[in-house]
Amino acid sequence: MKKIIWLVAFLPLLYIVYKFAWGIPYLDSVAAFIYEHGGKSLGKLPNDPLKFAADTLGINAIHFLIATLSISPLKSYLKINLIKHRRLLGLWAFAYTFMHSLFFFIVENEGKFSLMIEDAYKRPFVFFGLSAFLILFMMALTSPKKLFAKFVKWHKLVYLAVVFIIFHFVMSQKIIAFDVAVYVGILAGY
Amino acid sequence: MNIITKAPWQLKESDVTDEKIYNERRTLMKIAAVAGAGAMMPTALPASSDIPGTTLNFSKNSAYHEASLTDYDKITTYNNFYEFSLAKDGPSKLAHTLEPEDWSIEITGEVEKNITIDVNEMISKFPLEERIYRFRCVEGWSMVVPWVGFELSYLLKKAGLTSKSKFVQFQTKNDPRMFPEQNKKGFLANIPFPYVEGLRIDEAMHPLTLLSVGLYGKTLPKQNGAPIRLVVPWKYGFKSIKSMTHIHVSETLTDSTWNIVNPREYGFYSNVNPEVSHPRWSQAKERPLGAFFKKRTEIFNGYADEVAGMYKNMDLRKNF
Repeated sequence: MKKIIWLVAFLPLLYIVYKFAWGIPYLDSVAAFIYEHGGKSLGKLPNDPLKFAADTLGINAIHFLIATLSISPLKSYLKINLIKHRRLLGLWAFAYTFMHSLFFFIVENEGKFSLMIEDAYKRPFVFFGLSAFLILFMMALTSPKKLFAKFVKWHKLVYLAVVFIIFHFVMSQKIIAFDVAVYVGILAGY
Repeated sequence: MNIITKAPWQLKESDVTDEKIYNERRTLMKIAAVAGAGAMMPTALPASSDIPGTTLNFSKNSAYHEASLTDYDKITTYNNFYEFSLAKDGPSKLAHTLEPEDWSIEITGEVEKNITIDVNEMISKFPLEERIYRFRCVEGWSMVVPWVGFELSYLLKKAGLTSKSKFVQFQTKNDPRMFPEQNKKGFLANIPFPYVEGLRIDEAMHPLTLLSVGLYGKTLPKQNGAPIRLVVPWKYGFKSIKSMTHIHVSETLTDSTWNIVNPREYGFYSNVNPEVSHPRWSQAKERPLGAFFKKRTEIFNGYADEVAGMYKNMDLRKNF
C-alpha cells in the first residue's frame, strides 16, 4: 500500500517534468522517444507551460487532501481501516501545496516576501490560499508521533484549511465550471 | 510654370518617422528579439501546404512585423471560445459543428443605410493584407499572430456613418446548432449568449482595427472564429469577437459580455495596460505561449504610438 501511494504521488510530478522536457533542447529527443512508444496526447509542450505547472500542482494538492480526509469516513462507514497511511497521504497533500505555493512565490512574486504579503493583502483568493498553506505547514511540522500527540487538537484546523481552499479555488476561476463545482461539492462534504 | 507633381510613392517630409520614435521602435524590436530567444521556440513559418484551409490572396503589410511568430499549432489549440467549451483545448476539438460557408454580416442602427454583406463579397471587394499583430489575453498569456484581413473602417464606410454614429456593437452568430454551449440555459449556462462586444467609433475606425478572415495565409480555422472575426491588437483578447454576424452602430455606450458577467474585473475599454492590475492578478508581465519565462507587457500592447492619442484626456484606471 505504501509503495502504491509513493508511486501515485510521483506521477503528477513526472508528468510535469515530461511535458516540460519538450521545451528543453536535447531533452526533447528523449521526450520524442517516449512519444513514439507512448500515447499521442502526451507528446507536446503545454501551450501555456507556467499555468500548466501551477494548475497541475494545485489540483493534485486537492486530490491528496481529498484522499487524506477520506480515511476517517472510510473507517467509520465502510469499515476500511487505512488510518496508518493517513500521515503519508497528508504529507503528500502538503508537498503539493508547498510546490504550488513555492511556484507562485518564485514566478509571481519574484521570490520576494514583500511582494507575497502585498499579493495576499490585495487579493482575497491569495490570502485564503496562503492561510491554508500555513495551516498545512503547521500540521506537517507536528506530524511526527510525539508531536502529533501534543498537537492533535490543532490538527482539527484542517477543516478550516478546507474552507480556505474552497474559497481559494472558486475565487481563482473566471466562471464556475462543472468540474470545479464537483471538487467543491466533495470538499464541502467533509 | 513649374508644377511639381509627386508620385504616390514619394513621401512628404511629414511622413518621415521621427528619430525618437524610430529609436524607440528599435529598442522594442531588440526587446522582442531577446524575448523570442528566451522562449527557445522554433519560429519558422511552416510550409503553407501543411496548413489546412483555403489559400487567400493578400499583400504583406511590412509595417506590422515581429521577430517571431507563435506556432500555428499553438494558435489553433489554445482558444477561449465559450460557445464550444470552457477548456482551452476544447474549441479545436468541438468547433467542427460550425458552418462558415454561407455567412453574412448585417449592419444596422445609426448608419446611412442598413446593409447585409456576404463574407465572400467582402473578401473579393476589400484589399486583404497580412498583418502580424501581438495578441494579449486578459488572463496573462500572449501570442503573435499573422492575421489576414481588412480594416473594419472599409466596411463601416460602406454602410456610411452619420453624426449619431458614436459606438459600435458586435455580435457573434446566435445558432445553437453550430454552437453547442448556446443550448445551455439557467445555471448550466457558462456566460450569457449571444456574445457581444463594443468599441467607440474612433476605435472602430482606427486603421489598426482589423476584420480577420484568415491566419498563416489560409482561411480562419473554426476554433479561431471562422469565417470572420474582429482583431483589436491594443486591447485584451476578449474584445476581439469571433464568428461575427451583426454590427449595430448606436449613439450610446453598448453592452459587452464580460462587462455584464463581471463589471469589477472587465471594463468596456480593456486596453492592455501593465500598470492597471486585474483585481486577481498583475498585468505587468505576460506568458508568451510556449515560453518558460514571462516577458514585460507594454502599454497598449506596444501600439501606444498609434492609439494613445485616443485616450489622452482619460483616466485609464477608472476607464479600465
